[in-house]
Formats: sequence, structure tokens, C-alpha cells
Amino acid sequence: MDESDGMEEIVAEFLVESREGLDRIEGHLVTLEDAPHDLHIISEIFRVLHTLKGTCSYLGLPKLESVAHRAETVLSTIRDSDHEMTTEMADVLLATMDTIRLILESLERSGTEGESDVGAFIEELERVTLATKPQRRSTDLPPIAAPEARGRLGDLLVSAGAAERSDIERALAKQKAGDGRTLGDILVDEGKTRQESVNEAIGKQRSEESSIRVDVSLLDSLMNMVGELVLCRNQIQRQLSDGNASNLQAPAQRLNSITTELQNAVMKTRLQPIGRVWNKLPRLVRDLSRQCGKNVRIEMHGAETEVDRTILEALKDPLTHMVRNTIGHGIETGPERMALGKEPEGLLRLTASHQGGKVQIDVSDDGAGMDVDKIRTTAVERGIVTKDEVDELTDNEVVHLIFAPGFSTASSVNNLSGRGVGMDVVRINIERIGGEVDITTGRGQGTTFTIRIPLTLAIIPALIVCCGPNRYAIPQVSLLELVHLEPVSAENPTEEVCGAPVYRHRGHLLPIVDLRLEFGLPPTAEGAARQLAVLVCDGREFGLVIDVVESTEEIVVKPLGRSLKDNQLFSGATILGDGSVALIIDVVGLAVATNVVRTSLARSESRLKAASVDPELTEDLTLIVLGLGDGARIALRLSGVDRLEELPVGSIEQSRQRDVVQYRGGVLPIIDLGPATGLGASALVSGQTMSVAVHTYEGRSIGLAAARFLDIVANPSVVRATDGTIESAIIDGQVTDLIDAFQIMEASRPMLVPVGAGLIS
Amino acid sequence: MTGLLPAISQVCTFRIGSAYLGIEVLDVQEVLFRADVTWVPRAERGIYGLINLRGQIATAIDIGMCLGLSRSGAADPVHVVIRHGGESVSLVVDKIGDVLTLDPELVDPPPVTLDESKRALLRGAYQLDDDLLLIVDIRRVLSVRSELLGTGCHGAR
Repeated sequence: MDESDGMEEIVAEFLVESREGLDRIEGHLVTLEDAPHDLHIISEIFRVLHTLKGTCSYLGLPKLESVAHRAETVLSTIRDSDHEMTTEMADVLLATMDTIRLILESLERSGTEGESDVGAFIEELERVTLATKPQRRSTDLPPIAAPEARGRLGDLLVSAGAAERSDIERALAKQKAGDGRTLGDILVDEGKTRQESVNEAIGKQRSEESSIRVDVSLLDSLMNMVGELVLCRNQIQRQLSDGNASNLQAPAQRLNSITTELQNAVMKTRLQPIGRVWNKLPRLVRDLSRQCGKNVRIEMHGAETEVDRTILEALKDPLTHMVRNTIGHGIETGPERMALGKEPEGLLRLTASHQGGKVQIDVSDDGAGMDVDKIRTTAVERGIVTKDEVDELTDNEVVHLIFAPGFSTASSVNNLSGRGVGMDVVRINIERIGGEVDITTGRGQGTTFTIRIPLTLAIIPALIVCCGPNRYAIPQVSLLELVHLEPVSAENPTEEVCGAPVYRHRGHLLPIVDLRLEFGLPPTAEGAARQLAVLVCDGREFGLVIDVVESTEEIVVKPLGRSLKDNQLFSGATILGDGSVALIIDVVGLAVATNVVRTSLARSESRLKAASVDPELTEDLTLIVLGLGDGARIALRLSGVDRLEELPVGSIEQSRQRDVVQYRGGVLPIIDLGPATGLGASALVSGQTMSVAVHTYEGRSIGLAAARFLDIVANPSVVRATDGTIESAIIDGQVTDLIDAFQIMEASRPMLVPVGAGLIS
Repeated sequence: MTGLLPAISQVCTFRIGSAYLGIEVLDVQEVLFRADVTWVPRAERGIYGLINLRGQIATAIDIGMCLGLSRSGAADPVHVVIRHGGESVSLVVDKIGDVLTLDPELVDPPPVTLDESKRALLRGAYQLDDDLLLIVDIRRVLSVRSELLGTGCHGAR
């Protein structure tokens, strides 16, 4: 390696370190504004600047050095006097950080400090310094800690005042002379220092060396190699289990465990706390809120939540944008807030946590909330939806329109937000990493954006269970307890309430979901003991019957491929120790699919409108029950039916290859509900009559034909589908599928509207 | 004409039942002769299962089902792993064949009489002396697969 290479490396490292330092300082400066006397923070900032300055002079970067030096002077003025950090100082100091960043950028690009003129800037810094001349030199303040002696145990002991240098030198000489004891032991044995001091120093030595910088691409390639190793290990194991090389069993076992551990360790290297992205936000909040004349406080919880590095990168922009939006639109100005009886200072809260096997990030504010009516109007104005469509949407759905491309409610375009690009980009970025974003808002009550990212590569503890031929992972967060189901109580140790299985558990009836039934597997052999996992979802407990509980493991969650994205029963998959794939059960999805809980959409809906009520729940549901050709029954909403007609099947004629009948002086297209729904045989049996429910679709009449009309039922018990819509109803003790007439007509659209021909209504 | 793409010169061939099919060789990442497949309950038709591809999870697709072909039912199918949209997808086939270099002259569009939904999935038919090689537009197959088959999850309960 020639000298210039070495230099380049030093500069690169300097850049990384300086940027990290700057990120830290910015956070500290914002904190300092609120706690102007916190000497610890000042010292911390001081130290970073000092290191920066030192390296600058070593690398020959005079401009950077002088900026850092002047900033240091401002800080020392604050430190050494009774002065508080004023907003003006904070401004200047933050601007300093920006200037330093600019110079660093130019350094990275061109290797020089760039052409930017820092003279005026330095004057400004000096002016601020002069304005805050020290009034009283305080002597009792702790000195800024000198850069501590690094590395060597002896140095650490000396700097901690626990040993004399001369003693250490003597001890080292002894070691050289062949004394086998460690340095610490020699010193302790000779009574030169205490064992505790040595331990402390060793601890310090370790912590200094406990982290190093590693190139990400190196980690990636490590990961790939580990993957290959796992595959190779699997092959060896397979060979062994087939063959008879018994002397290889033991090393293969070790290879197995080492590989698994290595794999886990390498994967863990890619995780980083989400705080790394959040670090930049306090500064952003401060600057933006001042720009808009608002007063906003930022709170962050769960910054230590670990997220995969790639996700972290992808989250940066969406989070920034959400924060911008919140300050720009969400939070009101001080006077407005006072008028509403709120605290003048707005609150922006960021929370991160592992939730049910996903990483959930909430960005919430206590601002104005979203104006649903305004969103409706804007969405129509921007042509995102039509007037008719928007009337059909629930408030919750309307709120989600802000994620549509080209949507922006800002009445004026400012540099904060409202540039027309925005929430759609946020959504796309989050969906790109397999996440989803949800909004909860209430007028005057603020808005919460909930980002859920699948825990791609996040590592979670899980229970590995067997059911049928496969093994599955159940995230521990959802697991309350395990119950052994005795085989003695016949094949079914559970009881039933109207056909719904329940289990008596601590005096309560626990609804039961049998995983075998859910997965369409045959029941177990009679007399086999099974296990009941008591799970909790959305505060509701339910029991999941599985075959065997295998173990608990820390699993690495992998995303499912695109073709399985819609699958709601599984949140991902993992690779078990033996290399086989286990699906991770999405407890929330399972609970929703089995009607243990209603959907999140429905839930947020009820949260959204605490006072008003979910229209689907209270709507006067009247169903018209129709029979198909082979006796199958279906139901339609009566509200959508214009008229009900009995017509002879023989009256059907063919026009442009579609079935029509002459009806009220026009032509009525007929959709045969049998094949159209796939639920029964054709309703059109020649020589008989058919029952036609006439609907209106795009302003035209369409007839949905069934074999016979059976009944009209008001407010039956209903079964909801996963998206909260009603899927079927229980009529006369029979589950009857509720057909969405609109969907049927939509699906038959090409048939209804042939090219170049309109429908006659 | 949708079928003829001069860009293809080499195809990786395989058999599903009696049908002889090929995909562009550059799409193929690797071929696995043995893989443990984890069955996915309640998945759409056409999803064969999941396999462990060196620590990454790849979806195995029953491409025969997508094209309306039935596999011979051999015990251990071959996995032709391709890269699609940033993820690895395995196509489950009966037997892997040779890599053929095509003479563009002999590639014909799929017969017009073929059902349009299937026709769209083929890039062309190649005349071999004793057989016809169907060149599959794998991107098309994977992108329309869900539309073709519908989701199996609905109506399951």
C-alpha cells in the first residue's frame, strides 16, 4: 500500500467519524436549548469538536479547523460563564454543523475543503462569543476530560489514579523476565493496587475495544457465505442420515451447531437500533417548527428497537417526510392551540417496538387531526376519485386517500410540504420494504401514523410447533401459556357452543381454533394427545390446537415471496436449525381469519369515530335469499335491488353473445348467478322461470338471474370476512353466502359493455 | 406479434409431463435436483411450497399448473431457480433438459388458435426435428399467475 492510499483511508474514516459526531452534537444542541446548564452535554459536544479540530490540523484542513475552533470558543463561553445557551447561539452552532458538513462533503467529493467562504461565518461566531463575554470564571466546574489514555491496562490504571507508573514499569519488567502472572496479578500480589481497580480497568479496556467499524458489503458477503455453509451442512447431514459413516456423526453434529450459531451471529450484525435514524429528527423538528412559527416538542420511545440495516435506510425518507408533514400541517400554532385549550407546545411522539412479530413505528402528534371533508373535496378536485366514489367511502378510507399520488391538501405551497409529492412516496417507500402504513386521526385530537414493517431479518423468540407434516413458528409475544390436552377425554377434549369449539380454561370459555382444520389437514389419529397454545391478539385470548410443541428458538424472520404476500395466515418464514423452512404464523391474521377478532380496519374505524358508529354494524341489513340451480342458496342485499321479476327462461335471447331479455321496452342483460358466483349450477333451466333481481350498474339496468326466489330476511346474524365486509349470513340455520352484486357486475363488465355498443336501459 | 423476440438465443429446456418447454437461459440462476419443500397451507393454487435456498426463502411455483400442464408426478421434481423482481423463485419441473441454441428462423409465434390467456404466456414455439419446444415468457407467467388462478384463500371458510 503506498502512502496516498493510507491517507485516503484515514480521510474516509475521518469523514465517517465526524459525521457520526455531528449527528450526536445536533441532538445534544437541541437538548441543550431546553437544559442550558447541563455541563455533561456541553462537555460531550466539546469533546467531539475537539477531536474534529485535532484531526483537521493533522490532515491539514485549515478552514475546517478554524470553524471548529470558533465553535469551541462559543461553547467554552457558555461553559465558563453563567450564560445560558440562547436560541441565537443554538442557531449559530447548528449552522456551524451545517457548514462543517458542507466542507466534509466537498472533502469527500474532491478531496479539498472546497471554495465556500467561511470568513463571514467565523465573524458571526466571534460576534456571538463577544456578546456573551464571560462574567465569572467559575473554578469549581469539572475540567473537560482530557482524552483518556487508551488501550493499555497500565495506562488505564495510572490515569485512574489506582497505581504508580513506576510500579507498573517494575511489574512489566518482571513479566519480561519470565514471570508468568498477568500484570494485574503482579500488581495486586505486591499490594500496589486493589483487585477492584484492576477489574475496573480491564472492563474499560474491553468496552473501548468492544466495537469496530466494518464495511457493510463485507457483512453482506459474510451472510452469503454463511448461507452456502448452511446448505453444505444440510447436505452433509442428509448424507449421514442415509449412510453409515457413524464416526462422522459427532463432528457433523458440531458442524451443525457451529453453523447455526455462526448464521445467527452474522445476521445479528446487520441489526441496528432505530435511534440511528431518529438522531437527526430533533434538529429537523426544531428548525421546521421555528420556520412555521410553531412550538413543537419531540419525544422518542424505543430508540433501541433493532431493525435491519436495509430497513433503516429505507425508513429514513418516509420518517422525515412524516415529521415534515406533521409540523407543516398537523400541529397548530401556539395561539390556535391555546384557543382550543391545549398546551401551547405541540407534541410529536415517535414510538418503536416489536409488535406481534413486526416492528411498529408510531408517529403521532396532538395536533389538529385531519379534516375528512376537506380530503373528500380535494380528492375529487384532483381527480383521484369521482364524486360518486367518494360518497361511498368511509371516513377511514377517505383518510387513506392522502396516500394517493398527486394528493396534497396544503392550501398554499410552501417549502415545508405540499409540493404534491409526499404521502404517496411515503407509502411506496414503506411498501417497498414490505411494510404498511395506517392512519388514525380525529379532528382536534391529532393524527397517528402507524408504520408496520415485517421484521425482515429481525430476530424474534418463537415457539416451534408441529402440525401435520410441517413445523410452524409462533411468535412468543402472542403466546400466553401452553396446555396439554389429554387424550383420555376422547378425540375431542373440547366442548362446543352451537358448533363453535371452546375449552374450559381457568373458569372461562376459551374459543378454540384447530390448526389442522384451519390448514385443511385430516384430524389426528384418535387418542393422540395434543397441545393447546393460549394466544392473545388485540387483548382477546384464544386457544390454538396443535400437535406437538417442539422447542423455543430465536428465529430469524425472512420475508415471503411476492406470490405469498397476500397470504394473511403467515407473516414470514424462517429457517430452522436443520435447514428446513418453517412458516411463521401471523397470530393477528389467524385471529382475524377465524373471526376471533374483527379486522384492524374495522377496529381503527371504531377508534376513529368513537362517537359515531360503524355504519356496517348498524345498517339495516335486509337480505333477499335466492336459490341457484342445484339448490345452493345465496343472498343479495335488498337495498341494491331495484325490482324483482319472475321471467320465463325461454324469453332469453342472444345479442352480441350475451344473454338478454326484452324488458320494459328495452334490453336487459342477464347475468346467470350460478356460474358468475361459482357457488352453484346455472340458474337457467330451460322451460322454467327464473327470478331476476334487477340492479342498476353505471346508470343501466342489469338482471342477476337465479333459479328461484326464496325469502327476504331482516337483520340475520352475519359472518364477516377479513376486510370487515359481511361474507355470509346465517339464515334458517344455514350459512348463506352474501353476494356483492356490484362485484359481480363489475366482473361481467366486458360482457355488459361490448366495445362500441352501449347498453340500453 | 408478441411471441418472437430475437433477443433469445439460448434456452434452458425442461419437461413437464410430455410437454417440452424452455426459458431464456439468462433468467436461470441455478438448478436444484433436490430440495426439501415446505408446504404452505391455504396458499393459492400454483404455489408448490417454500424451499431453503442458502438461507433465503424461495417460493416454488408449479409452473405446469399455471400453463395448464400436468406433471408426471415423479417423486422428486427438479427446481429451476430464476431471479424475478429481486427475489428467487423456483419453477417445479419434471426433468431438466439441455441448453439449446436457437436458430431464430425456426421460432414461430404460438398458434393463433391457442387460448388467448395461454398464448400470452408463450413467446413462441421452436421446431425441433422430433418435437416442439415451447418458449415460456416467464415474467408474464409470474406476473399474471395470481390473476389466472385466483386466490385460493377466499371461500375457504
